[in-house]
Amino acid sequence: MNEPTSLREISDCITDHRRVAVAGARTKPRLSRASADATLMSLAKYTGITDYQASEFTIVVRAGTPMAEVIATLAERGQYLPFDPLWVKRGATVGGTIAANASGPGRIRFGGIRDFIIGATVIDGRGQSLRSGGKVVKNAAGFDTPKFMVGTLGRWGAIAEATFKVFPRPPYSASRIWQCADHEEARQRIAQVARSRWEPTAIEYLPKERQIWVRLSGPEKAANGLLEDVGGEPGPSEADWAAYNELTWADNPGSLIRVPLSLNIMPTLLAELESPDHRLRVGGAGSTLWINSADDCEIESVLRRHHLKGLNHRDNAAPLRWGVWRDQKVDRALQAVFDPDHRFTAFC
Amino acid sequence: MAALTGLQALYPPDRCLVGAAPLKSFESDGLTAFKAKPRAVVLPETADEVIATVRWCAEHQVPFVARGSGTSLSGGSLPVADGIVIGLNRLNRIIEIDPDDRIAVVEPGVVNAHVSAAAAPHGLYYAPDPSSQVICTIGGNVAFNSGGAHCLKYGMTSNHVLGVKAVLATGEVVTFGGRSRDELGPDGTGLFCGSEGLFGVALEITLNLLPPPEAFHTVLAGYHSLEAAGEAVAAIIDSGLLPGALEIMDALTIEAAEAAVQCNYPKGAAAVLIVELEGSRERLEHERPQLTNLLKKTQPFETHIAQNTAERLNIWRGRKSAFSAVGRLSPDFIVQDGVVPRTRLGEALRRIDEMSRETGIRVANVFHAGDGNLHPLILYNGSEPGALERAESLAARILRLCLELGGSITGEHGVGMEKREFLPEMFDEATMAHFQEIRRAFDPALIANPGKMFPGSEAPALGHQGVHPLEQKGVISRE
Repeated sequence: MNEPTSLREISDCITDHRRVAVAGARTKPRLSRASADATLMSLAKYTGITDYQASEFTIVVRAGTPMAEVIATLAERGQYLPFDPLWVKRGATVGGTIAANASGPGRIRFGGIRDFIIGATVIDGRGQSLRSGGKVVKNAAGFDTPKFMVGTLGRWGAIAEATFKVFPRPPYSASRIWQCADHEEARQRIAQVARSRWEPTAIEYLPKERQIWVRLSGPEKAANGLLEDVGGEPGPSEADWAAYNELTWADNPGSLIRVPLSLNIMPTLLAELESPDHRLRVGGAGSTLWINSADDCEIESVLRRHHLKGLNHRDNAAPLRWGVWRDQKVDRALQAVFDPDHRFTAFC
Repeated sequence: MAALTGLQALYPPDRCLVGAAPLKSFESDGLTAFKAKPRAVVLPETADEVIATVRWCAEHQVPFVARGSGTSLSGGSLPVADGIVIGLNRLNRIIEIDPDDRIAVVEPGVVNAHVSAAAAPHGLYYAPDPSSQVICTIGGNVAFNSGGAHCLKYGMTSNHVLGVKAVLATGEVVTFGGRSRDELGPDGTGLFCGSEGLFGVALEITLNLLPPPEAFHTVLAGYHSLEAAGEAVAAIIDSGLLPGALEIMDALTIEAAEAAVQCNYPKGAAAVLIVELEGSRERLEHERPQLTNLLKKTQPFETHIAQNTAERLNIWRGRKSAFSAVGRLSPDFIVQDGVVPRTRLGEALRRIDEMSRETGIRVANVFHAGDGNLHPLILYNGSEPGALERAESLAARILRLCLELGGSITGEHGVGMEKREFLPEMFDEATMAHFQEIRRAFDPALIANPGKMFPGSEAPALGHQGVHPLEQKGVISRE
């Protein structure tokens, strides 16, 4: 395994090898499964916060930096990344979080990782170092390739460094649980809370339990005042949320498939997928369905029926891609721009 | 150049304009210093007509420019000489508002403000609010990743676009993103936003809608120096508050706004600061005293808190009139759109002031202080020989200053025609070449809005045209 520690070494590693699989801490193992002839390049040693300007709301970090370190550094100055990056305690890195677009419950308030990445240095398949975006929170110059890199899974280039916009961290958060009779009631209540005046910072649904978890954040008095309005039962604690963001509920054998969703189709989809074999969660106010299952035979046909796509984050024996993926000429043309020699096809 | 016959066959004569007279009004956009004569202007009414037009252009290698209301301040919708203008104002259907999914699906010619108006009965709104929102269209907003006064907290247009269906310059119809707020794979939607019309034409755009803030707390503070107003912004940012808007106007701008709309700003102020907090009533109850205490320490000589909606709107009226008001001070002006790191605002303003004194060119300053987005208004009289060129040269120095301080050449207007020579000063050679390759992946024949964003292409004539008629009426403004 190659572990470059500078931009030059990353670039050399890419150009010196026919096929390169870029990885970080491999907390989402299925996303970086590489073929036998591939060279594994881990960016886990390319670390460090290179610039943090709390008064500018910006931080520049190298790809291998553990997200936990970024979060701790921001917290010292009362700031945070509002999108709740996932698998932080398990060691997720900055680069891996961007490449996997791993945003958690908090994204419903101000957006996901795509909405907070404002600049990036990417090493492409020719070993070129490309710097786009900027270091200021507002910028409309040039193509927004930093945003484009979100979700590229190492297949389009090695994300070496990223600049994030950061926000002041709310001093306090508290949560409530709403018990629902069925998925349709859950759909209606999620829609209601997402349109409410409460400015929720999480709306997650646990289908088996028929529970909606609602989190409010802000000044303590204000959040508690609003919670009276929200009603429901006293909800998950900070520790519960921390466990939730590690996806501990899915620590079972089998695949972990993520499916982009919209709220209105949630009840139908859940009804079709409900089985004792599947553990399900709906995140981001109906935006993401997570499926953890060792018996995945009907999942593919359900996703196809609804023209949905899924990505398996775990279980190296199961397929990576599920459901219906678009095949557009322009995507292939773009891939050829980033990786003309097909070096990043090392994943399988 | 191919005969127009095939193109004319796609449209009835009244929607395929040719000849000097009907084309006159399409020769320029919000950046009135440039103009170019198109060969024809087509006014499609359906997505299929747009697709057929782009395919005709692709087949015959004819350059085209998609255009909404033509409010671009960077010359983004300026025609290509002898090319086709695709006027999209008739594709103005709001296809769908889904209040539970909290999305709007719209055609590119829908006016920005119409989205919020349509969403309002469902308790939702569309957050991006560029100053020309009563007239500018979503297609243009997407192409130029438009901003507004609320970008620090809410981001820009691209942060509110979930999906785009578009016809690319090759004629291929593609979809990026969709109804979900989640996405797997590269963020094509993010790349399309801000591509300045160089990839193709958006046909259908899926927008994210938000519930509007329940309440506002708007404060106007007058200071004896710009520096003091700047320090107040720093104090607010460092306190952990996240205001919806933080705006500063300097003395020259205040004078103009006062004359135009009698907004009753503090008399004798060297600068005014507008701070707007927003959120639930409970949140504001807590944050209001916090802000009051903070501001007190920054020693404004006068503070006014809006007691009701009318007073709030009056505070904003002064701010929103600023650009057209400055038009009264001078026959012409150039608006710059540079960004500096917020902590270097003071330095940037001091140096702009020095440049202004040195050149004898008046500069009025209005800016989105929260995100460091400056809008220096460079005043000149276009009927004086060489005045436009001198103003342009000062504008160039200001842009270079923004880069020197670690900022950007554009916060929200885009590069367009106006700033294309400066893009290579912001990005290195490899990145510029990479941008060009990305462009070619979408448009190998370089027919989609050529001459914008990238330097080196033949420039249309720079000439004096005066203030945009809509700007004179105060309908649009250059910020």
